[in-house]
Amino acid sequence: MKKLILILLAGLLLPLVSGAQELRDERQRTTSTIIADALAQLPAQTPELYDELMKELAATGAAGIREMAGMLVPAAKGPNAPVEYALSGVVHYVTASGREAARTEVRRGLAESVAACTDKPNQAFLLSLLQICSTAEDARVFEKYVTDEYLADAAVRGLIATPGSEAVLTDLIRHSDHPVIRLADAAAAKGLAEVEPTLLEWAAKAGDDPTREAVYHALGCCGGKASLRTLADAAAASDYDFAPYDATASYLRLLNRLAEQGDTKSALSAARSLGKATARANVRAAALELQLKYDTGKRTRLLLTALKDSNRAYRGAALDAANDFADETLEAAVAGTLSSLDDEARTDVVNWLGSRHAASQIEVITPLIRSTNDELTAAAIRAAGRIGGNEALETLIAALDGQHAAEAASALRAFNGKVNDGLIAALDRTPQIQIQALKLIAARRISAASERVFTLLASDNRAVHDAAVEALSGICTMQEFGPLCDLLDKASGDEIGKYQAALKNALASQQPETQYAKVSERLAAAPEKTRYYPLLSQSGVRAAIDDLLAAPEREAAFRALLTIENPEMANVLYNLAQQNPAWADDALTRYVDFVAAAAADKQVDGFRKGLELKPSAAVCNKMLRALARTASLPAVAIISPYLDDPQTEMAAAEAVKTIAAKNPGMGGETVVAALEKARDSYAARAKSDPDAGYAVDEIKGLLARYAAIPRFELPADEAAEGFEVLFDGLSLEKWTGNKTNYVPQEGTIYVTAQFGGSGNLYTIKEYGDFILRFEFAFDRAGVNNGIGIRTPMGVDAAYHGMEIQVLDHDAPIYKNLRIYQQHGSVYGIIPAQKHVQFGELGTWNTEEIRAVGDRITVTVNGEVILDGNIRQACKGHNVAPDGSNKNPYTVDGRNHPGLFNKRGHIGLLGHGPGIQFRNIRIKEL
Amino acid sequence: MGLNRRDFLKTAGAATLLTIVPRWVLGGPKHVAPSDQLTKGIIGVGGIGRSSYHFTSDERCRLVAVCDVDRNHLDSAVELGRKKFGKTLKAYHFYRDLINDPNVDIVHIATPPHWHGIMAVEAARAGKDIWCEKPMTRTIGEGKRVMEAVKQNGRIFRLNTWFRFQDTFYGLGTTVEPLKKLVDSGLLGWPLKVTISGATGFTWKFFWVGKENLTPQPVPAELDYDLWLGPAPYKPYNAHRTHQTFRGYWDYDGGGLGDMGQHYMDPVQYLLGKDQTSPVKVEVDAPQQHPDAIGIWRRIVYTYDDGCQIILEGEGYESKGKVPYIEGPKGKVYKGFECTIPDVMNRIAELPDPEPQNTDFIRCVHTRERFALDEIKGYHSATLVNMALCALRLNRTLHFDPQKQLFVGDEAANRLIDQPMRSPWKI
Repeated sequence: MKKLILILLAGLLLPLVSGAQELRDERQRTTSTIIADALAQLPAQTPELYDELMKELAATGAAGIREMAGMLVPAAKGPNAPVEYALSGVVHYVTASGREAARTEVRRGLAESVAACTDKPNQAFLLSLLQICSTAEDARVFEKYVTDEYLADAAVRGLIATPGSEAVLTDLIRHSDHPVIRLADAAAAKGLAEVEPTLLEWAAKAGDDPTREAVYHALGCCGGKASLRTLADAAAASDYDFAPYDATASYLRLLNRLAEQGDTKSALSAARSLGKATARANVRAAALELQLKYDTGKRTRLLLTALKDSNRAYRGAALDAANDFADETLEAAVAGTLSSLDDEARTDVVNWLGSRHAASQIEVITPLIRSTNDELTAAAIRAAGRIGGNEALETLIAALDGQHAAEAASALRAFNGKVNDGLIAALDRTPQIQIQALKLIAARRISAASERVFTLLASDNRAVHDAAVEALSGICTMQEFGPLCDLLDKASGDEIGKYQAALKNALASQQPETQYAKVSERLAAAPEKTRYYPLLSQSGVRAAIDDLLAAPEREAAFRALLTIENPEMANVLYNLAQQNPAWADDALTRYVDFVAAAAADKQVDGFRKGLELKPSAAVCNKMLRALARTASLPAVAIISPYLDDPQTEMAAAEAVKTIAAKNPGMGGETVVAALEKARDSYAARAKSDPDAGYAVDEIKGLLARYAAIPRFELPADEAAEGFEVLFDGLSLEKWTGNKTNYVPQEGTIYVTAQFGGSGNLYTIKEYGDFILRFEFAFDRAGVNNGIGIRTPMGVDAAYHGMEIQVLDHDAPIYKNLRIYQQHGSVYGIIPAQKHVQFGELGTWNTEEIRAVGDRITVTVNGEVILDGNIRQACKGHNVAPDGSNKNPYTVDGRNHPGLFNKRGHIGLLGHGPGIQFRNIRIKEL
Repeated sequence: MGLNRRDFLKTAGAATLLTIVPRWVLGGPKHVAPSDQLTKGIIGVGGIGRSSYHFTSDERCRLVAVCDVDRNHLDSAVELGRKKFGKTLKAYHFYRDLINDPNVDIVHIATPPHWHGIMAVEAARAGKDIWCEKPMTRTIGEGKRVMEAVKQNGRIFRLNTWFRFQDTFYGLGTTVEPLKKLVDSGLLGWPLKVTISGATGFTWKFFWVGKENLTPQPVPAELDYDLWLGPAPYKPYNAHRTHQTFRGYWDYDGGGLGDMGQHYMDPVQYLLGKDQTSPVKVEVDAPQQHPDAIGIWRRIVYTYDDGCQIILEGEGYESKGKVPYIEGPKGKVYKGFECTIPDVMNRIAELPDPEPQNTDFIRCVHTRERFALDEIKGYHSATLVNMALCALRLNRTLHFDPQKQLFVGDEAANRLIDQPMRSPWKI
């Protein structure tokens, strides 16, 4: 459809370009042709093509730009996208360095095009393109539209973006007798110092708040000392509020600019006054920030004074601003004020020192951990953890016994430094500290503490004992394997799981076989064998699987099997699901993990088998999502039935959409039907879920591709003769067998190996005498296929029926081909009498196979290449008369027991990917 | 003097009740004194702003006001407030009225991104703290203005994505914390290459593409389209530009990258320790982009000056083999924290946890500490998104100067950093 429109557009333009003296490129193409060629290929799908096409378009110069811009139509009247791609592409392309000459042409073309264009939105579009590539010369182009109501915005934005437009803007502002917001904004954006007097006049004249806001903003950005009074008054008049015209921000901007430009005296004096004039914390903060930045000699004093302020936001802002220049001396000065501050301000200071990792101030911070103010204590703990060091470590460990134990523990987990020795020593302290230290020791895997932890198992304090048990999983190594097993054998209740966890972690460092051996040995002697099942399963070895399958405690063994990591588990779990319906869901849930990790070509079959066991909807959905990830087209047929069940509908719809999107135009009517159902499922949800609306759009796009496939219809003569269509481009309904590798794709049957199927594709019906016509094309060299006739299914048609060879026989790999193997031969019986010359890969060939009694006639591309009698060819001996497997009567010397079959299926006998068939039809005789 | 009721309460509290510990310090569902209770107003309640995640009100922070330029959104938000909290929310059509409302402490910006920068800057100047949805800003230049205004006015800012400090990181199947420990441990070596791809658990939402050839439609009566556009260039109305589908247009957002880019890359920036810097190069492989409607892309590669890379694999890019999420000279980590380094969990357990982050925004508003993902870090991760958008539009490799925060040797790219706004909007 797109191409058609382009041709129409190009046609319309012809009168404009014919006759005139014309640019022609090295391929003798005119500007119009270059543009038409480019438009047909846009949007460019690769960077390489983009560069190539844009280079060509850029070479058409200003004339080309004018021609393309002339193709733009009002948006309501037709699609502009191809031209927009072309124009925008070339404009962006020429802005790269080294393309300045082309850029000049493009700019000129745009300027002329804006003038010639009569549609305002299109003019605005062209101006926006010029805005990307403009230079000072284009300022005059934009200027023309500054007073145009529709285009003024685009024009002024263009001026702002254009370097060197200052003179034009200055003129515009000076010659405007009233304030213009848009121009004030432009002055601000460009920092036009020259227009300060005009802006000040505008400020006096400004009648409404939006105009004031714009003019004050411009003064803030362009003004100098002369603007101070105006902005100071405006800020005061608005009570330093953001409303109604944000004058304070403009005032602050002016002050900062003055200071930046070197007039720190004016700026600082104004900032000091501003800080005193209002209670608004943010305005005071901004004034202080300026002072801290420029009043370098008074920084420390300013900051320390700010810390005594009662407003926390102001203090916070002051400390944050101080980060720009803080050093150890300043940190010390700030820390030195701690004693004179209230607890809230102290908290702020401690937070600040902590965030700065102010190591030199740790001695000031640690005592605050013992403060009576919760917020301050918590802050000191966090700061101590961030800063680190021995003193901090000691204090934090002490804090593990108290109200703030949790905060101290989390500070220690992230402690900036070494904690191992300190934590091991902490195991000798109070029970509270012991408990917390045990947790930390486990979290940090401090195995050196194991001896001490085992001792604490005997603690009289129940909580300490529990914490010690809990800690074992973090610290145990194989050294503790024996003692841990002893504990496991004697354990009860929750502790069983904890010892198991400890043992698992200890075993994890060993090779799987070692793990299995160690565990088996203990298991044999254990009073409660099931306790060792989870350990056995961790080893993951086949012997462990077998032991668990044979275990008498079935349920416990099954639970353990579910945790095994071993690809062999796919089969094991499948069998378990089959054996015991109560286990099916759990087993299949796990089964999905293994199938999904298997080789790509095994997955679809694995999920199909799983689904056949009819697990719950949740498990089905998991499998459907996994099927989606295979991106395998044949999966669509497996998924389709689940579109009808409300519980699986959405997972199935998503899967169908995902797979179809990865295989666009493929799969024929199976996929079309599934997509239509999926579309309806999403559509029902589109009102409440915007993603569903997008899914509907996406599916519509996918379906459009199938709808565009032309369906093969019989020519009138064949229809009159009684031919029957076997494949019309979309439907495989008359076929059976390997629909995995034989896939409808864009109107053909495409043979592919990517989906991992096997076998041949057969007609459902059997045929005896017939005329079969079809077309085929090779898309890779050396393709080997064949047409089976009068054959049963599932056997080698060349011997149990007949195979009419299909082969790209001139590929170099076939240089030793025997003549009865060349294309068109009745394989092994009658060699083709002519050697077909195939065209380039992708060329379509027509073929007719006529089978009447014993006479076979093969016609390729209109030429008879074989016409012979199979009975005569082997003198009636399709099998060796002596019953051996050496047959002197056939050209391949083999037996062909099916050669004289009266009827049979027609088969496509695939030997690998790379061939397409289409327009297959047959007439029975 | 502009002291309002709430300032007064707080000042009075600070002066007279110094020894009383605010209850929020202790946390938990306890009583919060009125003077410690914060309030928020949400701008933009058509999508994420009305989600159950944000449309909340509790003792620590009450929702008091909502704002939308679509009357239907506004009405239904007020109705939702009535149902959910039994309160009548103050309803505003114009965002500045919400920002100026003295009863609002925190301004929550949930509009399309082309408004984020302006609203954040103005909220800061009005003395409000800010919660801003991702992506932080639509251009690099607007992000710079937000950084300046937030700092200058001493405001607390939260950019709302959270994977750098909580939750399983999308399809990766792990939180960021152990990854951070692993990266910081040096076990993987340096420099690192991080791949954000379907193969590592991240899907790019390519349904966020715009439509070309939009035809003008009448503006619905309930929508103030001019205000919806705000700083964006005027273009004739078409429903697809607005609500739910705005992400597909350069004027308002950045397509699938704008939607998920900051979510996915902010944690990577944290992992790589690049919170204060930017890459020196961005390369794109994509079909040509339309000047209005955003399309898809295949691959985007960022390179930092030390050789670290972030690689985004998008639509139509075929990953080769098994793709690690992080790859270093000495090891790789895959989805689900599968690592080529033996016994890695035990080895990283021996190391300290990453430095704690301030992840409680309400607490930060009280204590005036910087939030874990503040405007500076948010700016840098938004800049990752925005610099790639520039490269996509120009369809070429761009070089960037992390000090100057400008592109190098590409004047057109720098024009995309500061894009002039439609008057009277400015930043």
